[in-house]
Amino acid sequence: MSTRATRGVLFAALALLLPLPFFAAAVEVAPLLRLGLLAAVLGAVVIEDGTGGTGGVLAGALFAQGLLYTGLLWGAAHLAARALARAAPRLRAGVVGVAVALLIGLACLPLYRTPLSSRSATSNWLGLFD
Amino acid sequence: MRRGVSRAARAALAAGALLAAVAAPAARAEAGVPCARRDPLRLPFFGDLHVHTALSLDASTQGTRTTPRDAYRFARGEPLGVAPWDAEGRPLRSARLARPLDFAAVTDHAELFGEARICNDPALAGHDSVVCRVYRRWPRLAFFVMNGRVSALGGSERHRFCGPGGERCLEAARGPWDEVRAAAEAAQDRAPACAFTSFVAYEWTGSAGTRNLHRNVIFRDARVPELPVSAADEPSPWGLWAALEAACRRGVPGCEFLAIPHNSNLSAGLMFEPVGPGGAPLTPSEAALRAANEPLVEVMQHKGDSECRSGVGTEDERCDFEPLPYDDFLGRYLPLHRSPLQPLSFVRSALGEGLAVAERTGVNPFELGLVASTDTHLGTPGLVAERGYPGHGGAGTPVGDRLPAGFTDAIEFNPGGLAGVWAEENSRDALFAALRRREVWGTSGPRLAVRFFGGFGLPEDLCERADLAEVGYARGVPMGGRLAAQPAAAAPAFAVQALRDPGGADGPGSLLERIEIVKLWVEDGAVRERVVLAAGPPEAAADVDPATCAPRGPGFAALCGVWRDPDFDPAERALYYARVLENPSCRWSAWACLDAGVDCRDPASVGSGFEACCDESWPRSVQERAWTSPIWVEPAR
Repeated sequence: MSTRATRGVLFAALALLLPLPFFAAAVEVAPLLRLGLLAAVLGAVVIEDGTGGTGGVLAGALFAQGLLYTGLLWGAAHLAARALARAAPRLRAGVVGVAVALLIGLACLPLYRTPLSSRSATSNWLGLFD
Repeated sequence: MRRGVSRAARAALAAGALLAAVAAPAARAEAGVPCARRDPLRLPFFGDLHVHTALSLDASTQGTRTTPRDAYRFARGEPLGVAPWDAEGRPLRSARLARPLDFAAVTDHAELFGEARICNDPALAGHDSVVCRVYRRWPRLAFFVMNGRVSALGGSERHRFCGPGGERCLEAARGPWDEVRAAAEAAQDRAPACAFTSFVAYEWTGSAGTRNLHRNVIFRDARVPELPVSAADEPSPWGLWAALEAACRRGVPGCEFLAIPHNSNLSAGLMFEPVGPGGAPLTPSEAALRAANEPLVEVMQHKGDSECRSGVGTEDERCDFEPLPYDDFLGRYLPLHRSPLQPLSFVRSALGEGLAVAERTGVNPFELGLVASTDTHLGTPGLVAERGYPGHGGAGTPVGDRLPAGFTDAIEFNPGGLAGVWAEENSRDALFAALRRREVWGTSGPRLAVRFFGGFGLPEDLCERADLAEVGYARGVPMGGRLAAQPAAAAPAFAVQALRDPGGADGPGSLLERIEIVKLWVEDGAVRERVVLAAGPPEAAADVDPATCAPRGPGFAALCGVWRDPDFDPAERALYYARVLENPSCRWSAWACLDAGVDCRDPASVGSGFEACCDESWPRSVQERAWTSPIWVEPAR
């Protein structure tokens, strides 16, 4: 596994699975994926309705937080990939695999806080789309 | 100076004439036979004037399915299924009042009546808009988007799918409004039993940013405007009153309304700001207009107590009852946004400010009678029992399709209160007239019956007499009334009598601990305050067993006291109201901890969501209470 692939896999795993706190009318603790989903939904509202009201404010806040977290997660993945660059390829793949498996395991638990969900204020990964 | 006095006098006369016109119970306006139970000395009735059903966007987006008709049936004692619901549409919880209410008003948010209907009805244009898709797919998110557009930011901008001028949504709003009206009509008991009174009503949900300016608008009877005036139509209270004047009083023969502000504790001091529509100090006519339209205030409800807060314009330690730690909605979600509480977020300060404004202008804009209600968003009027409290939704804990772990509501919220009314009979005419003359009181839940009279000729032995009410009316005025001081008059006396909640099948309510009288007056231009003991022992001796929630210690089934103000100065403007305190009893959260088997000595017993059970910053017990409307004493000049 190349350094570039390591960075890409780690970034994808973090963005899809790592719970992050962000504010969107209520404080959610969910992956960047959900933040992006909510930003896209609100972006569509803004396109239809204009920037007036809370839709525009929330879309803007989510967009800004999305940019920030994208940078942070990319940076974290980059640093981790660099740190693993000197390791043997099999070890590198093993570490990445364990990290991803750990995140997937966590994602099966209802550890995400999703007060904007229509079903429950706490969710596992599948519940992120409610 | 002369001109100012003259304007004030004119405004006072105009306000008096308006109040007299609207308060006069001259003829029975409602159809129906006379009530079998009638007393010219008036009877106590209990009800809830703040109830949301599925017609409110913030209720429906949380899973509430209760209709206005369901809510009235619940108020009359029928059981009701409440959220969450299973896949087959069966409720996973149910509720029922131990005792029916005497009256209720469903007060759904008028904003978004039409928008929600369009989003729910595929036949209506706009149903396929992005906003409506979000409403159906992510209702919680839609709540913030839709509510924020028309009320939270104080704007009047409707969604584009409402069409030019919002016509599509205004037209669609007729459906829900007709449903509200029809439900109230169906619930009204016009038989001689007069068992239940319903009012056509709604909530106007205006805000200044995230600072609450909400009002409930209660109509006297079925003669109401074709559409409610919402914050989307009129974002300011001044606009609301003007629009209601046009649409109701001038637009529909016989139509009459009053507005009840609520949650001043979430207004960051704006609810009772003594300024007119342009931000300048209130003129006499503006003060009179405000007083005529808003004779009452909701002093307590689900989202906390608004009477007063110790350390915020008062040192009264008994003010620390069901306090919210913020006075702006945003402070709930963003603790960093919280700022020092403002005195004018609280009713006691507003009552005092009213006296001060009256000193300047001759007209008191804040002559407010006190009521309480629930603000339930489950459509469960009067559901105020602390034990087994299912939450009220709304700004509290949403349910979704499964119960959240732990507490059923945000820990700082509570089950809310009730409105008490002294009226000759349980009819719309009689109750509305009582609301107008402010012969009302609020309770934090228990059905405490409280009489409060003031007068210069009240006898000292009134509590020992069987004809307390007869003498009180004959020689004084009841709560909500005004006394005019004479230059050489003796001090007025105040008689207050309270009876514990007799309870229902589950037994009587708590014993009473004390009655206090709160006096506010203006001295040298400043508002002063004094709290005196009118009945009961000076030191409290009762408490509650934290392990079992069992009450301990002595108390009273009834209390009565006559207090004559030793510091009365006939030249000073003053008001007096009574506060009745029960012995301590377990708070809803303490009952929830107890029923969940939480033992703070055993960490394993503290289940998820029950961590606050062992946080001593949250009280385990409360002193339930009642607040009477004030009696005002006009200075002799």
